[in-house]
Amino acid sequence: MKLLQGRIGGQEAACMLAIPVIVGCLFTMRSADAYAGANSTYLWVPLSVLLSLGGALWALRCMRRTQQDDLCGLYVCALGRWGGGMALLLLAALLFLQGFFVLSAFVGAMRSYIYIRSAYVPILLWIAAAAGYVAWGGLERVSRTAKCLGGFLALMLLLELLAPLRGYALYRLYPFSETMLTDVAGHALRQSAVALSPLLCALCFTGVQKGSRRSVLLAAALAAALLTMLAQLAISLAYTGEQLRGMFMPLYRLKMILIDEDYFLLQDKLGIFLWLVGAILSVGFALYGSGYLYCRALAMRDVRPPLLAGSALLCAMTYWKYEGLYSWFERMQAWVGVNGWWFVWVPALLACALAPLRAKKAERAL
Amino acid sequence: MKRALLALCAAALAFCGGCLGALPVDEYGYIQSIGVDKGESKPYAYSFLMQDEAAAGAEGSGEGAGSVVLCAEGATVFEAIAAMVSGLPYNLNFTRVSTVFFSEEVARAGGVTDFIAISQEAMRMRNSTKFVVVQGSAGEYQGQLQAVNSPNLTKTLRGMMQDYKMEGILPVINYALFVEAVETGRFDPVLSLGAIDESIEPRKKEGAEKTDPDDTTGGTVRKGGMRAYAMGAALFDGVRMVGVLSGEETKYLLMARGELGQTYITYVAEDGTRLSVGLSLRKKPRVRLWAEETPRAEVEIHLNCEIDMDTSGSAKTRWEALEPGLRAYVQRALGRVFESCRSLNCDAMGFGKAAARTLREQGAWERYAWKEKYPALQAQFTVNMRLADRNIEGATE
Repeated sequence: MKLLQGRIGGQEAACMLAIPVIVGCLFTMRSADAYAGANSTYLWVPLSVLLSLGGALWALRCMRRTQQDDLCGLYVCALGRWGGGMALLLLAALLFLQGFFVLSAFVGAMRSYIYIRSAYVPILLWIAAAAGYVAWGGLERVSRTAKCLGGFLALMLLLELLAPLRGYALYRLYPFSETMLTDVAGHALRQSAVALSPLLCALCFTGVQKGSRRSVLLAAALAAALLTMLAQLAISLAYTGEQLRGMFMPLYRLKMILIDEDYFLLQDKLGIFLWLVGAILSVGFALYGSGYLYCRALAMRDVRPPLLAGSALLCAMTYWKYEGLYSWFERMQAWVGVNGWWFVWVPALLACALAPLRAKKAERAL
Repeated sequence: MKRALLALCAAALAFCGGCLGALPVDEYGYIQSIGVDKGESKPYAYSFLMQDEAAAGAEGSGEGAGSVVLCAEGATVFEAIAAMVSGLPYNLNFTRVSTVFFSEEVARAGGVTDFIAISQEAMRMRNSTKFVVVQGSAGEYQGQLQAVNSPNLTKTLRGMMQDYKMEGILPVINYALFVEAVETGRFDPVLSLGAIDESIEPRKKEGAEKTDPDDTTGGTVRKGGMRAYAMGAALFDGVRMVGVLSGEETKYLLMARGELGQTYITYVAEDGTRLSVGLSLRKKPRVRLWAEETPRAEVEIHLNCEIDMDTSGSAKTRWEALEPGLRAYVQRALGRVFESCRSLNCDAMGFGKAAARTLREQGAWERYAWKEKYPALQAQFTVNMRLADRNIEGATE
């Protein structure tokens, strides 16, 4: 077995999960959709994380009730070998796509804001190589790197949010959308795929310390919900919904609202490098996680071939996005943003609903 | 040890990027500011103040060591850039543009929106780029700025920020706020106003001390200093410039907007004594607005006062007698400035922000049509003053 899992503790697992959730919720949302109604991302983004937490905790509870070691077992128990494998493949695909969205967002951002006249390929290879290195080390490398840098990244994010404090204004939150409640609920549900897929993926890892799974999920999701709420609130206090709709990566432009940038001038360029570290960890996690799920779905014993294929596919997709198929990939991202939640919620809910029934039936048969 | 090494490697990533598709520094021409004037053969004439160390001391570079002004006409800024780069050995880079100067003629014709509609994203300019309106030629204004041996605009901008924060005679707005004002309609843009003082010649003529009658210094004669100066505010109704405020009026505008850092006013008391009073905001103004058919607003402003002339000790005993007159004077001035702005249909004080808060819902805000109601707005200003002069306190204790 070369699934490159090893053993990781609760803190490592929590950091490993929180970083992709935060990065996904801050950098991969399409502004045109996210700010279509009014400024309400500070409500529905954390809500989506909490919703995902609820889903993951329910899955964990079902795993315990049906005495399954991991989520893969729960899926197989509830949906059968074929159905469970399909559910795992869907989860792997969604996780992989999230890694792609993060990678392509950062390649685009680095090209737009830092290396203005550079080609996309060297930027892509530079980021992908680092992400690949993290992923190829397996679960231990991903999680321990995340633990090393998680606190530092969270602190830097908070400092980045505090820097433009003078420019924030409450009136930018107004006026509210008339359909705010339904908008918030709809967006939260659709966005929940971003947080739910890493959380469910963590339940598939057998290398995570078993007794701490619940606290890992709680710590990761609550930290992610808090930080994403603060970041999205800061964005909403800095720019109006009208402005945000056409803005790529608004967090990068947070300090530019200040009349007097003073010593914050050009620090946004430093900030993007810090977030890039988080992005590399997120892509590394997505690569490893999707490769691992692929192995579990197809009963493969070596994660390295899917990892190699996944890395190459990720690079190829990002290359093609910026070298000719940009609008196609943008449409795909929009479609996944709207419909992706079905692919992760439906199998999870089915498994949670059916597994206890199947388990009881099996007990009775015995 | 491993963690430290990992953190070091992660930090080192930030320094690795420079090798990607490396371009020598001298392949870029960094533009520091852009001037937009009305063109003769094309709609606009663009001038670009460019940092160029090679130009220092070169023949024809003028007094502006380290910078040159490039000019070209075009229907859009890109047309002008295309015309210019054909004669330059490097590429122009706009990421360091700190200020865009618009001539008053362009601003009054609504040309600012022509510029921002296409330029900011495509040219990679920062959202924090400052916008300034210039009475006269924006190109000439830039030329005057570079003619005081300042190879970049940093010092000039620092001076403008000083005037904004410490004197209150100049508003400052950046691209992000301008776009917000234009797109959301919750307030109207107010830009810094620059001008060239014709009395200050590069080669000074005998007895040349007159100022431009249209200047914004309120008739105060300047001697020496830069020909290009900035004082007062350019008022906009949406995207079009509609009027100006003098430096003195700008103090009250900033006071009502809650942006005043500190300013000084001259007040003649009832007994004929002339006082110099330092004013600063104690807290943000409180605006209450009733979004009715004829909107009403009450603005409560809390000020700290320093009386510079009476620091010998008598001010505290006179304060109670002085305060009502001074308060009424400031309230009248605020009312006058509000009337000036309202008559131009310019919501410079940002009452629309309070209206949006009052109306709460998007549909209600759109149905109310704030800008149509704004000319009928009745605003009342209430000023509270507190003597806050440590010199006086110390002297009277």
